[in-house]
Amino acid sequence: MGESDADREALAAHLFSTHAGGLLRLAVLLVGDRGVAEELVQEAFLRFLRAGDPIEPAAGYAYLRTSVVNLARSRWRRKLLEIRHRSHSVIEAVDAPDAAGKVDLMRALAGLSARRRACVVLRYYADLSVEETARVLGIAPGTVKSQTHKALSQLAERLKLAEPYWSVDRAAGEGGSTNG
Amino acid sequence: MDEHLESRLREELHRTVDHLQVSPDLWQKIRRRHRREPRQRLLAVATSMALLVVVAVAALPVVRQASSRPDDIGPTGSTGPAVISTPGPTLDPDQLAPITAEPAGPVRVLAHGEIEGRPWMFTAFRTTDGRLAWGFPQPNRDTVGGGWTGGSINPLRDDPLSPSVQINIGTARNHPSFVYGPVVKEAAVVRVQTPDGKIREVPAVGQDAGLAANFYAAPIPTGVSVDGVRVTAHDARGRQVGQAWKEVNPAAVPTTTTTPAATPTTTTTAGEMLVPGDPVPPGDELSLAFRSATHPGVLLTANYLDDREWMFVFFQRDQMACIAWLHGLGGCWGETGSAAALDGLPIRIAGHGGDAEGSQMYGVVSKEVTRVRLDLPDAQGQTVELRPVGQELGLDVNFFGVMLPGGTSFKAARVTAYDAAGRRLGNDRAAG
Repeated sequence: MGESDADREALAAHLFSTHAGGLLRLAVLLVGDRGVAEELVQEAFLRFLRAGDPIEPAAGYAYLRTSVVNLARSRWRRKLLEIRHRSHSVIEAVDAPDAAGKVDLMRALAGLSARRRACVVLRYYADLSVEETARVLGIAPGTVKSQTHKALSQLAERLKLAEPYWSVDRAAGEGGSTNG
Repeated sequence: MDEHLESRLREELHRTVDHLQVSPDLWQKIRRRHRREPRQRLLAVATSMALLVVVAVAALPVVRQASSRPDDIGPTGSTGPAVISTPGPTLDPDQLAPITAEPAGPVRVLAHGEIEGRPWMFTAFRTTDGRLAWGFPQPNRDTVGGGWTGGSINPLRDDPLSPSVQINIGTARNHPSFVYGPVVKEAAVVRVQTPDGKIREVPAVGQDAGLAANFYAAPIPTGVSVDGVRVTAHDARGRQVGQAWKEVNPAAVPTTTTTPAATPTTTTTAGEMLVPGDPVPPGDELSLAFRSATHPGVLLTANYLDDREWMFVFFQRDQMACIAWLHGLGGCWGETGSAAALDGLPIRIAGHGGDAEGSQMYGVVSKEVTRVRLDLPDAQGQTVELRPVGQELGLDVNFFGVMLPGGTSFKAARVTAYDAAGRRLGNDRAAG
């Protein structure tokens, strides 16, 4: 291919100018923290710059997006470990509805598992198809469907407490997977 | 799913983050970091293998001082690389200067050979702190790795060796791989089967090296997958004296695709990833997917060490009930766990081992055991409380297991079993 470091950096600069904002917003939804999200975007671009294999310009954004998603999940793992080391009850506390009944979307997202959260964000924020989401996450399309369905049920359940507007018909879920 | 819910969710997601912009100096930060930490970093594994080649070339005259009888190998014959089992030269520890383990004395090359025209050497030795270490040395302390490259050096507990064969896999893009590790003393030959079905037979070496184990090192030609290998050890009469499997997750192995360096993951049901934060509930049935077949299994527990997930599963393979650890870089296969393993005792350690990624201990307990306390010995001074798992299997035993950071030694570790009333039922001690 003969791609030089300068070529890679030029491509990275172009991708940064066109996609960095979108990647940041994606990362914020995945990790729930702007500072961390910016670190993830930074790391994704560094991986892109250092990758040993040639990367076609057209594949650059997909590469970065997948990196951000993987990095977010990796961070989630560390976070979960920390939480578990502190107390078994913390997870449940996070999952529990807010006592005041005020649960916003970010908090509801934070209560989802990393995979369900990624499914929701990629499907409904990044507007990826089931198949595209499956490719990014490295899981089967059927898993994306079932995880998304369960995530929506969870979100609806939580957000319903804050806003009666939210509702879900569990029996109507595709894939026949109910979350009960 | 409710379309209204979906459209509302889209709206909310965008409303929540669409105003966010990256910091104005982010690109400059990225460029600065990139220039400080150049591109080679992600190529570390490949580079280390390349260094092996370079250094091994430098070492060639030394290696060739030894016998050059090629043990050309393999029941299937065709591509067996030459492995010279005659002890090679003695290397000066000071010349090697390994970072992770200091040899207690002169280090003798136990096996060496050439693969694809590239010489290599393998050694094992006792460290100054009394442990075993093994790896691929390069007699040049000024190079990256402080004198070791092309694989790893793995301090481990002393004898007896359990499990009877241990597998390390060193692999890199566009270079030969190595499957290597310790094997029980009675082993004379070791057969390494790669996913392509080929079996490569290499000698077990180190019989007279005064170590608690023998060792094997099988070079695998470039392009041959080592994503799943099966290793069997045989004594001088051909009897099998040990076996092990190891899976290397493709996500953790450099490939020639442009896929981002993915977080290592463990493949389970029908290609589905287990993602920490989304643990499969204990008792879920898994189909453990290996290259050639799937095996039904039941998840006993899942947890996380650093940013790697590990699982403790019970499954059947080749008519054998097994407990298994899977973590980010592959599998570490335990041995059978069944009622017979208890032999009337309340608790028994089934195995322990590990590598740089993590150290595992696991075992079997009787049904009345509700709590297990693991005491690590001496300097480690650590106590770990464990809850037996496996109740959902309906067997007449349960299991316990723990994953601790890589390098943790279980030598002489003790596990104590307690019942629901807090009574101490008995204990077992790891070999050492």
